[in-house]
Amino acid sequence: MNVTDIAFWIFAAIAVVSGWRVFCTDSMVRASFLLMLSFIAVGLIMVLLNAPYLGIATVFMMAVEMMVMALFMVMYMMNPAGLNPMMMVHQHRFSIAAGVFLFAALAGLIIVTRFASNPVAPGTEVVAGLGKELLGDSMLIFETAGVTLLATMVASVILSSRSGRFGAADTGSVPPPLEPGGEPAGRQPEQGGGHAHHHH
Amino acid sequence: MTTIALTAAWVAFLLGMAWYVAVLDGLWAAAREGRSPRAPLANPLYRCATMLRHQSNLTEAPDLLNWRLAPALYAGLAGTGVALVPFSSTNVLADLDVGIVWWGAIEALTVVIVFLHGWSANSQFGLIGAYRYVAIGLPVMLISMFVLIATALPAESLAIPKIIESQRGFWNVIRQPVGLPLFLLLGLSLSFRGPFNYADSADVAGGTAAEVSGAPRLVWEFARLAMLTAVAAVAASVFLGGYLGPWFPGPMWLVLKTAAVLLVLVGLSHQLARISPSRMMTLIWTVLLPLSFLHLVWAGVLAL
Amino acid sequence: MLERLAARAPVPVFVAMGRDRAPAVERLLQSADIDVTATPRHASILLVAGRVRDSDQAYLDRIHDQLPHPRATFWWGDEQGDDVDEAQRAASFDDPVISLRALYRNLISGAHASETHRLADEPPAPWRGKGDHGQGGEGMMGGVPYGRMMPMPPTPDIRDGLALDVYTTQIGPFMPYWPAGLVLEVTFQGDVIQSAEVVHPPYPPRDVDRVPFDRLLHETTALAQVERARAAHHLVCIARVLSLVGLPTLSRRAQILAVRVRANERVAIEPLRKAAARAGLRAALAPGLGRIDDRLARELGGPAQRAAGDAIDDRSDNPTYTRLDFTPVTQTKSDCRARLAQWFNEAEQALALVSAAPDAMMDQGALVEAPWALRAPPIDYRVTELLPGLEWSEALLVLNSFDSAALCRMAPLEVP
Repeated sequence: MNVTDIAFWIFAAIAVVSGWRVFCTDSMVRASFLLMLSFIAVGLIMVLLNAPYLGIATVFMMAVEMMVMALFMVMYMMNPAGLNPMMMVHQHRFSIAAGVFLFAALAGLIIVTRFASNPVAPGTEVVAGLGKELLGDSMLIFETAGVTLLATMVASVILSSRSGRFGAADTGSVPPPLEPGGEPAGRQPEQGGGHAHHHH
Repeated sequence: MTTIALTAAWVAFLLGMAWYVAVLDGLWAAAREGRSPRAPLANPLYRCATMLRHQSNLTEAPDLLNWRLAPALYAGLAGTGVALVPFSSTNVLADLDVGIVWWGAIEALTVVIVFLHGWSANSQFGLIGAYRYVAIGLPVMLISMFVLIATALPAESLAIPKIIESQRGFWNVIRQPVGLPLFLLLGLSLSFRGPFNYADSADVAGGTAAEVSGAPRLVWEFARLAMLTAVAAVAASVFLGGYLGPWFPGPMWLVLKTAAVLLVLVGLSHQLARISPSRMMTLIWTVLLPLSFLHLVWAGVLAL
Repeated sequence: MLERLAARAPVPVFVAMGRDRAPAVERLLQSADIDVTATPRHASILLVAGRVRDSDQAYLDRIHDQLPHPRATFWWGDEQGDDVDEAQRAASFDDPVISLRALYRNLISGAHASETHRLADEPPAPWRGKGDHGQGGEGMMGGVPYGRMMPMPPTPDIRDGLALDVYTTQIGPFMPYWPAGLVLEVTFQGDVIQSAEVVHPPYPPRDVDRVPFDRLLHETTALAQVERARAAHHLVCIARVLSLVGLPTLSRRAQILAVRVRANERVAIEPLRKAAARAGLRAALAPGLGRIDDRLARELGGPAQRAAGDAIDDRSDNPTYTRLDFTPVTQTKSDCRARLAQWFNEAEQALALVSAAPDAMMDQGALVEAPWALRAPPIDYRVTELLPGLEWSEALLVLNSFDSAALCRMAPLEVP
């Protein structure tokens, strides 16, 4: 048992335990960040397997994704931003059973399979090799396509968020009510004196 | 250098630069206010002592684990950022092949930690500071990643030591001029100072730090300074050549360059006003991000 | 060792403004030994300036309990009785800095005992006992009454998407950079204000600013005194806005200028204005932010009316001023930028008048414009119509672009 093995077992334990806690915690923000912790542990295991780019990129991406998810949680449950205790799972008996069954099945499969043993030589240029494997000769196309996709996503969000069901978002749309069936919440844009603030 | 000596140098660098930034802050503020500075070198230490003498507050039903961990994690992230920076051609604490990607992960995790610090206190102003910061911090991170990738292109490597070595001919600040100003904006954003202080500003009564007092507050303020140091050290390495330079030994050049970048950062944080979050978002998405794309294209064309 | 270092640090003080006989708190900032904090949790001393309204005493107690130990209260003003310790009070005209430093040193060394809690350490709402955390209910969203509503769309059509949640809170009378004394019950969606209601109205203009104008009603007063009071008042208002846009050093400089103006020194505002412009003050205030229409500007009167373009100023009818070729200063658009520029211009004009006629006197009862609109009737418009739709930082800028008299008229207590 050397340091790498101990590190692997620790990260594996963190990944499994925090993954389980995602469903036991009673706050949506905590659930997002526990999921992030689970992914970070998996990313660090990938670093141990000498795939540093994949591992750290996983950590990077998951941090950003879970942050955005937590922010959306706060948007929909503001008081007190997810610290209010609530039950977060539905049909949990069935889910627990399905989860345990799947875990047992996958773990059994992994244990009985014979994996190829192909250790990577210590001095290999892993990152360069990964780049050539993934992108080959199409690096420039990939870059261009990536930037174009980002611009398209941003533009589509802007275009679609302008107009809602009740009208354009920044001129006359009426927000939904605070209680079901109640009056629309927030300001009434038809009144004079309410100088509209344009949301970007 | 042995690992122990290197670790000691790393700790000394962090503490020394954090103190240097605090001294600069005091001097600059005194100059702007038109009075003589109050005990310029020792004032930061006095204020640390004050913070330590205070009791650590509790609020009603906070998320205590995250709340107390957040400052320590923030300081830890800043520390790993500084560990990426080589002190000389053979001395680097964390010789990662993918140093730039790890720096990106540090930026992303910083946003998470600042959000947690504000949210866990179960207080309205902390929460407002936290999500204002997230709305600005995430796009600024994108800008910095493009800028860093641009510096990695001439080096053909994601490791910071190799990027420094690729600057033996020209420093990156000369052949990629837009990169350093954009990266400095990231520095202001990661430690939320001056025009990017959406997290801890006075208009939300201290923001994420509004409910914190005592030793946790001291660790939080130190972590902000340490993160500023880390950004300055990385900027000095990938744009200004790090330890490269004639006559003086490598580490001295690194310290001098980091100190110069910190001077610029402290100046920017005192000299610029803060615009409202939604206008800042518009500025970032419509002006700065396309600018960083163009900068990346320029760097790519140069590297071809 | 730690005590010796801490005793040399600047004294962290949180200021709670009282309503009556409030001293000019900006005098504290002249000394680098005082650190005025933005939140009570960073302070050791709660400085109560003036007399606090009875309705605000509960809020003051809560603020007091938020200060971390070791803590003490210091009263600055003439209102407290003899049962307050000599070390913990100062008269309005005195400079409390030395007393504050002594009190702080005694707190740190333990010679002065830290004050105990004024309120009981209980949760604000009683636990109902039901639910895992006693939150009052079971079920997916935390049950009734503390649970949240499910954010489903209010109409049967599911394409309408989820509803953003709202959060209602009271923003209290002692918050820094908030109009002193105003308590608003604000409903937020994120940091955008959805609605606001006045719970307690703000304080009227401070006594220290009113003194020369009140005196003019009864006796002959020097023009220099009146104009210096105007310049100082405008500088304090400008300082608040400067702090809000992230220029705390310039804000402190403006407040120190105000103190020096009141102390009859020669000062120049032009360097401050240039420094603020170089720092991007205009960019920080969006054009059209806090824009009020002309009808409201006319009803508000005072600097707000002149910022909208109406050159109405009582001083135009005063012979002492017309002899000095006085013309009112105006701006064009009536938004926050214009009101801030109006303050700058009027302060500079006031100091120019002082240096042009340092010895001019005005008879008792002469007509003079106060730094706010004096003789104006109550108006129909409410500040709570100005705020909805604004983000928090913009709302604070809008509120602080009006002086306290205008806010008093725009935010009265609604009698049910």
